[in-house]
Amino acid sequence: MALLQISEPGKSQDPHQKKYYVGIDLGTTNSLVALISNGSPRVLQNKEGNELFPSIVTYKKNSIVVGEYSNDISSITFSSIKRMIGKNLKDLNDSDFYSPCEYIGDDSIVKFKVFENLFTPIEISSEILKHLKNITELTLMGDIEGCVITVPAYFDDAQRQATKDAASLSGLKVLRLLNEPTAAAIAYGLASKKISKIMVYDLGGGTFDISILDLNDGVFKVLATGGDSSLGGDDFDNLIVDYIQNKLDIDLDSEKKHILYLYAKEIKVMLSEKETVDIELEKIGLKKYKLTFSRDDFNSLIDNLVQKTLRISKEVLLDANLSVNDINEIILVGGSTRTPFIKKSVEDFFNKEPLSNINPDNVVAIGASIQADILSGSSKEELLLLDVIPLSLGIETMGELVEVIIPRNSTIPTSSSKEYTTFKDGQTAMSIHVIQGERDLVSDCRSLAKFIIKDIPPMLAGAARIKLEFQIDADGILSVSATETTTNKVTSIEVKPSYGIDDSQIEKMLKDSFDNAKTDIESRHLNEAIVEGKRVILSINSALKIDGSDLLNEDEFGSICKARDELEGKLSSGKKESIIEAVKNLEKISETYVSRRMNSNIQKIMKGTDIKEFN
Amino acid sequence: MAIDFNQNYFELFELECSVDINSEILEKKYLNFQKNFHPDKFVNSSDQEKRLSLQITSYINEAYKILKNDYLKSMYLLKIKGYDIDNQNSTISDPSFLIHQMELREESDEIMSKKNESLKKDFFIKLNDLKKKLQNNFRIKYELGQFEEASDSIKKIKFYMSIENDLKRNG
Repeated sequence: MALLQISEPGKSQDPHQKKYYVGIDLGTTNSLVALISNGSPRVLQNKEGNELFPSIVTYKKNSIVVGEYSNDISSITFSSIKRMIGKNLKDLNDSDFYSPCEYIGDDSIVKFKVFENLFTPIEISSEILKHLKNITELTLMGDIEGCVITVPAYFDDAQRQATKDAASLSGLKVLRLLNEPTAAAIAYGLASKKISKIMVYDLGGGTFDISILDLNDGVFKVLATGGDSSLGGDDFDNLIVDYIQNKLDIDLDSEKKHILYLYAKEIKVMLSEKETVDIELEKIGLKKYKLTFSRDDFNSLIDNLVQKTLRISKEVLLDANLSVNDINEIILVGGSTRTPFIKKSVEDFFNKEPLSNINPDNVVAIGASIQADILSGSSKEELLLLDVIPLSLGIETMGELVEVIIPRNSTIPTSSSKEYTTFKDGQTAMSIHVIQGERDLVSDCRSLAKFIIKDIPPMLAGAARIKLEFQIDADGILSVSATETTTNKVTSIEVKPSYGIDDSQIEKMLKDSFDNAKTDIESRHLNEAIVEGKRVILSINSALKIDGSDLLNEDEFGSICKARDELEGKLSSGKKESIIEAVKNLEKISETYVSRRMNSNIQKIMKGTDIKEFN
Repeated sequence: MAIDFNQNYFELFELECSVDINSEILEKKYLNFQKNFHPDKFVNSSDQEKRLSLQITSYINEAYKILKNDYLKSMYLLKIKGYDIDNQNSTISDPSFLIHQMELREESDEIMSKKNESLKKDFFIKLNDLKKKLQNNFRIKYELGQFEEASDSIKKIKFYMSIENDLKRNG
């Protein structure tokens, strides 16, 4: 397109070609995107200036909305879908996950009945990632070339695989999955320390996670993790609501209660800055009532919950065979750690001041962005992260016992092979059950996959040698292959993952999403048009600033500005066609300007160059 | 990117094939390997290079794990000499050791049922001392070229370790 040539010859860079590497914190309550820009981390904001994108997916009759609560009763809204990723029906029934609709499932996966369709947690999560991808590419006016996505340290193979699947469904290329506590440690630059034991205290909106990392010469090991999946800042808000309701001594309907709940959130945030807050219920449309609420009042409300987090911290320390004094650094993660009382309690417990100068909401995303930058190869920083698998991998043997193949805490990537033989004469198939966990009994561990090895050459019992090779990649994800070693015949493996979905299913889903989601494609086209429009405006503005008044008369200048303003106005119209039209119009009107610039640029270059160079 | 997967782990790290190895060289080489071959260095490379990087780092990690751990290294040394303890029936014919071993089992079962942490700790220390003695015995026999006797020490360590692991997992 004509306007592209406005930049100086030889130095032009098409902004549309810009490739970005980002870090994504795919959280239970909120998600964030960060990237390294000009050497320092930057957290992306939405139109309203928020850095936190609520991890909420709403299915309406004809569209999908991400990140907003909807009052539409006919729509179906999923929140905290992360709790269900890589989980099966039994997990769902055992959990306190709130399903907004009917669901079906088996020992491998859950599917939610959304109108006429069935969606897995993977597909629902992929909507969040798709949304983040769109916003990022719009804001940056470029493409995401690769990303690092963070996952909780305790995520097993199934949950990691499911997260990766969600990313590939959303069209994101995952460079690496990164443990959330490790990301936090990277954000604080702790990776450069020789030896250190790091405790990460992560109190978010709805979950509490505690992890102990062992850092030894660039090798990050997760020593122990623990937590409570239903403890977080939301509980603090509810306690404030209960407190006010008790003082008022009335019952509120659900709508009023929700208003009060949002107000309670505000009060909590204010108390991080101020000692007291005047609660004025008239302000939020409730009855006339005034009450002074102090930080001490709040602290005594939440004291029980805070003590609970410290009890869990103690247990995790015990698990890791460590005492409080062994911990070199404590990192605070999650919005709820802004509460001064929590900071103080953690400090008293560990007898050490925790690291908290990076915004605790952003710290994980920032760590991920640093890792993404390093992986992209553009960073000069030398950081090598050697991760370990959090849980042992094994297979089922006689008597429902687990035989460990790759023990927990093995540095990854790693591989291990084992030989098995046939049990009966002429046996041609063998069934293998892969397990993840630390317990002796299969039923106490998590079932990962069931394989059937077929086409074993028929031989006498015990003569065939089946070599099974287990490979774990740098993301902690397992793959298995099998060979019959006496004949060197590669036996085929029929993979039936006990969790989630296999590759062919992903392929089908990808296809489905292209076939069915016409709205998706349309919104992508619209996004592309907006990006293009913004880019054109940007380049014309910068050109005008440089030589607009030199090369153009007043009329010409004015008409270009007019066309530009018109385009600017169309950007928010939501209509792809009118944006494209306005772009074309602007380009047409500035054609002469463009060619004058080219000429003047060439002259400038010629002037500064010795004539000999042209020979 | 190329590495000979057929060389033994000592050759890989350019170390002398012996009981005592220079741990400084091991650490340095290990980090160096990781810096060159870790999959993080190949995120934008071809699938073939990625696969190769995965295989190489898996091989390096396995080699490092074995060379860093005295017990695993001892077994590996014996394997090179043709004594594959891992895939052998680890029978020990020494009757006094068998009796000793039964006594340890009983002690371990008792600690398990009592759930006494300090007893458990003492027991682990005792096992550790026994293992250390045997490890030392292994070194002497191995260096003398008495691989049969050296294997015997390692087999005994294996018994102690299984007692230890059972107690760790179920205690």
